[in-house]
Amino acid sequence: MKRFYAFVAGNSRVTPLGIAAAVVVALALRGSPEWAAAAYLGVLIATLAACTLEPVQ
Amino acid sequence: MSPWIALGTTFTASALECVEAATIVMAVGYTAGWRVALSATAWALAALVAIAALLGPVLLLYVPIAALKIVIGVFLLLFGYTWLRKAIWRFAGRKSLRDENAAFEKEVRDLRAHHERRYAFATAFNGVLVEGLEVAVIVVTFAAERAGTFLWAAAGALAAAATVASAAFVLRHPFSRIPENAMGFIVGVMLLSFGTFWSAEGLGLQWWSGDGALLTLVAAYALAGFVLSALLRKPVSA
Repeated sequence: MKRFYAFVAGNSRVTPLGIAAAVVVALALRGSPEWAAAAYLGVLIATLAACTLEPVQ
Repeated sequence: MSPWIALGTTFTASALECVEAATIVMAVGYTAGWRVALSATAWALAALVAIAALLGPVLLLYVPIAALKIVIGVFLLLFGYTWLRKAIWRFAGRKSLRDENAAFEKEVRDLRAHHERRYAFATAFNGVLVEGLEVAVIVVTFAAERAGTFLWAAAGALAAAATVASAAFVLRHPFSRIPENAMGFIVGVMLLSFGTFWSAEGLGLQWWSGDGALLTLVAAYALAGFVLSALLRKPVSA
């Protein structure tokens, strides 16, 4: 399980949470105008920033 | 999406993984003999081709397209984050650059400590299988998104493997001058862009300019990567 997690998520705790948050945002804004996609992208870019602050592996 | 983009992305990702696998195979070849190194490589490659050839059509046939876009999008996002943050850390000086010569020396030391032929075979087999597995999954995800893309994505991965294998045969030395981090940065940006695009479509979101939004995503992630590399850069001590 540990190996699978390392393979899929590179041992990051932030990235699965960030993706889950982005999915929640997407579901909440589904059917809204095009800025919903921009909000989705924004959460994913914020996730990138947050995961680089994790301890270096 | 142009099939050339799928080909280019899998070529770059595969080339990087093949460089790392080639280091392990060469270490096995020089210490335990080329017969065991090459037979282990052939078995691992056969396993990878079987995984990609079976998984792609199964996904296409049995999983609804919207669910498929979400699943492959999330996989690409997870892989993309791993590639890009590693490249950012390395550009920022927070993680050392990969040294193929050092990796080669370490493998040779480990292999000399174990004299068994079985250990050498397992080392080469695992090296090729583990390094190639991510590429196989990436090829499958490209195939799953659009059926015609499979051959292009697979061709990119196989072309990279052939190029690295030919170069390894000619040079007979670990590759130490490959710009691995820049290539990793590009692969990370591409995987994140495709992952974002497909997962959003699967979730029912609409992009502002259809397929053209992919270019905006590539630019956004590349810019974010450069900014984060600069912000995280360690100050040079006087």
